[in-house]
Amino acid sequence: MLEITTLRNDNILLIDICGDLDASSSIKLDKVLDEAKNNKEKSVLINCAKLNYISSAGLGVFMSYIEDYKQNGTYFCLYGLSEKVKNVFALLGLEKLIKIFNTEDDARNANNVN
Amino acid sequence: MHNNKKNISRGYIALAILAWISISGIEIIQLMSDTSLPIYIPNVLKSVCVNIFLVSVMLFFKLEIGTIQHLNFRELLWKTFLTSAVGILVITLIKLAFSYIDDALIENPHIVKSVFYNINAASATIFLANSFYVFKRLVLYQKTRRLQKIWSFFETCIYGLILLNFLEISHFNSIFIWIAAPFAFWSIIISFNLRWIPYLNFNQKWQCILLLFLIMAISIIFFDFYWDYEHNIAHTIDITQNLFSLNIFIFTFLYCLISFLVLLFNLPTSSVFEQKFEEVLGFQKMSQTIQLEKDETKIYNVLFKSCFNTVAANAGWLEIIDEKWNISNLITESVTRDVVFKIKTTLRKGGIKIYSESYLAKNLAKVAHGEELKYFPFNSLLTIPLYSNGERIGSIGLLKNVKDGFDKEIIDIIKTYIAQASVSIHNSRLMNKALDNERNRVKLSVARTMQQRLLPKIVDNKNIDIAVYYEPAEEVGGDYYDYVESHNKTVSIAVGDVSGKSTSAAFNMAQLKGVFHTLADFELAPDNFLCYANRALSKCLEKGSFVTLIVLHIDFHRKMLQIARAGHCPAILHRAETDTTDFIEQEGMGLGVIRTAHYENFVEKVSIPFKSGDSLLLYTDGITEARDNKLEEFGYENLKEVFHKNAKCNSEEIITKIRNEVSKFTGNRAAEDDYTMMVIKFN
Repeated sequence: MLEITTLRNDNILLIDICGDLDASSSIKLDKVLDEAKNNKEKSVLINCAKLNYISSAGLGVFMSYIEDYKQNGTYFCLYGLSEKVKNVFALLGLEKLIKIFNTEDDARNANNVN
Repeated sequence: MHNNKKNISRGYIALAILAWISISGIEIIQLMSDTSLPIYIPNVLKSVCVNIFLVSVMLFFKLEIGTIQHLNFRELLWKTFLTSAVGILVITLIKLAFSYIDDALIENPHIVKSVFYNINAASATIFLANSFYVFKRLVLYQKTRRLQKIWSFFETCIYGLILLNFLEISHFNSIFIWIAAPFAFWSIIISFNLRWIPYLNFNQKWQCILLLFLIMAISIIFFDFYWDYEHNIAHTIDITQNLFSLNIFIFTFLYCLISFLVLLFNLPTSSVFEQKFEEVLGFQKMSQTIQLEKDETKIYNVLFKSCFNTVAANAGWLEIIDEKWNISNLITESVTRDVVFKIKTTLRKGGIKIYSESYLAKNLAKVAHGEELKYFPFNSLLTIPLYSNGERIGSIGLLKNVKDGFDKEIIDIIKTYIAQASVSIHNSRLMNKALDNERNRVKLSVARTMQQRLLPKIVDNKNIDIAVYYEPAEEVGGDYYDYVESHNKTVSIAVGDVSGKSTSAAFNMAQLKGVFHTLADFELAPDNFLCYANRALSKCLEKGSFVTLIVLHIDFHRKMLQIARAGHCPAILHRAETDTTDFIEQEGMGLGVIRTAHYENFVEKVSIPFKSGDSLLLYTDGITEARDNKLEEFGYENLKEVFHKNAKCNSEEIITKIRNEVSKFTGNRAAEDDYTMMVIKFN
C-alpha cells in the first residue's frame, strides 16, 4: 500500500510518500513525478519519512527522472529517509545523483542557497 | 420380474375362468334339477364364486394397466374402447340370437339363456374393471400424496363392497341406495382430477373427446343390459347386480362424462396451452444447448434466436461490449448495423440507459426524439441489458412492426432466457480464463527451464571450494550468477540482480549474461569490466531499469582477489587466520543508473590478498531483505553473523546453514524476491 499526497507551497512541490514503494505502487509515484516534469516545476521536494520499504522498481522511478529534472532545471531532493531506506539508495549509488537531506528545513535551505 | 408379472396375470385369468365356469355350472345344475326336488347349494358358495370372479378380473386389470410404463392417454382410451366394443359386439350378437331362437326348438331354453346371461355379465365386468383402472391412472396422473391417499381409501372401500354380496341385498332395498349415493358423490369429487388434459394438444383432445363419447355410449348399453334384463328368469347368481359393480359403473361413467365436458370446454384454449408448452420446451432446449456450449459466440446466437422467435419479433439485435464500451460482437436480424446505431443513439439522447436497465417502448414514435425513427417500419421496441456475474456485457434489442407488441408474460420469459444465458456466459468466460492461465503456466515453466540453462553448473576447482544457491520467487527471476575459468590461473565470477520482476527481469538477465561472457574473455580488471558493462547495458535497458552486479577476479597464481561492485550488496569476507568477518566496503553505482556521464568516476576496485581457508560470501538483496510476518528484514548484520559462525564449514554447508536461518526467520511467509548466494572458499 502506498499513499502519495502533493502539496504546493510557493514554487515548491512537496510530495509526501507513505507506505511501501514496490513494483505495483511505483506506478503511482511515476505518474506524480511525470506530471511534475511536464509542469516544469521549479522545485520538487519529496518527504520519505513514512516510506517503509523501497524495491528496485521504486528506485528505478527516482532514477529515471534524475536526467529529466536536470534538463528542466528542477531542483529535486529527498528528505527524512529512514536509515534502512537511505542505505538502499546509498548501495545503488543514487545518493551521488540525488540530494538527500535529513529534514525539510535542510532541503529548503539548500534550495535557497542554490 | 417380467416373467413373474406374466405368471401372476395368467393366474388371475385362470381363476376368473374357473370361477365363471363354477357359477354357470351351479346355475345349470339348479335349473336342470326337478323343481319339486331342488338340489340344495348353499348361498355362501355361490357368493364366493361370484366374488372370486369379480376380484380376479379386477386384479388382472390392476396389474396390466398399473404397470404400463409410458402413459399415452389416447392409446389407453383407445384400448378401453376396443375392449368394451368387443364386449358390446358379443352382447348384441347374443341379443340377436335370442330373437331368432325358437324356444320350442331347444330342450331347455332356460339353461341356454342362463349361459348367455353369464357371458354378458362377464363382458360387462371386464369392461368395468378395465375402465376403472384406466381412469385410476388418469386420476392419479401427477398425483399429490393427499390424492394418492384419497384414492387408496376409495379403492379399498370399493373392494369392501364385495363383502356385501354375502348379504344378498336387492337393489330396490333402501340400504342399496344409501350406500350407492355417497359413493356417487365421492366419485364426482375424485373425477375432477384431470391433470392429464392440459398435456394434450388440439388434435389429441379431439380424439380423446370422441373416444370418451364412445366409451360413454358403451356404458349406457351395458347399463341398459344391467337394468332391463329379463328379471323373470330366476337368476340365482348375479355377477353384475351388486353394489360393487354398480359403484364401479357410477365412477367410470362420471369420470367419462366429466373428462368429456372438461375436454370440450378446454378445446378453445388449447392453443394457449400448446404455446406455453412450446415455450417451456424451447426454454429447456435453449438451456441445454447453452449449458453445454463453451463457445461464447454460439451462446449469443442461441440466446438471440430463442428471444427473437419467442416474441415473434420483426427485427432485432444482440450486442456484446467490452470494458471500454467497444462493441466486440453484434448480431442483427432484419435490420442493419446503421439502424441499430441510430436507434441506440436516439435512446441515449432520451436518457435511456440500455446497458443498465430493460426498456419497453410501446409506441416508438412517442419516445423522446422518436421522430428520428419514424422512417423505420418499427412501432414497438424492447431492450434488455445482458449481464455476466454482475458486470454489464451488452444488450439485446427486439423490434416489432405493431404498437404495444410485447406482453408482460413474454418479457418475463425472455428475461429468464437471458438470466440463464448470463450464467452460461460467465461459466464460459471462467473456463476460457482457466485455460489461458494454464497455457501461461506452461509457457512460464518453459521459460523457467530456459532460464535455468543460462546459469552455469559450478565445477570444483583445485584452488577453490565453491557452492551456489539460486531460487527465484516466481517461475523466472532477475537474479544472476556466472563463473568463467581461464587456464586454471584465473577465475571471473559475477553475482547480479536485474531490477523489476518475473519475465521482464528474466530477459534483462539474459542480456546481462551475454555482456558478461563477451567481456570475460578480455580479462579486464573488475572496475573496467563494470564501465564496459554499463556502456553496453545502458543501450538496451529500458528507462527506469538497472542492474546491480558484483564482479570478482581471482588470480590463484598471485593469490590476489580483485573485486568491484555496481550498486550491489557488498561482499562479506571471512579471514581464517584472525577469525574476523567484514563487509568489503567500496563505492559503486548500479549499471544503467548513469547512462551518459562518466560512469568510471562512480566505481572503485578493491584488491585483497587471500590466504588458504579464507571464504567469501556473495549474495543478492533478496536474502538481506527477506521479511518475516512482522515485516522485519533479515538484514545485513544478521547475515554477516550467520556467515561468521559457520565460516569454518565447507561452502556447501555454509550455504545450507544460511538458508536454514533465513527460512527460520521468514517462517511461513512466501519469498518476495529471488534468493541467490555464492560461497567461495580458498583452498
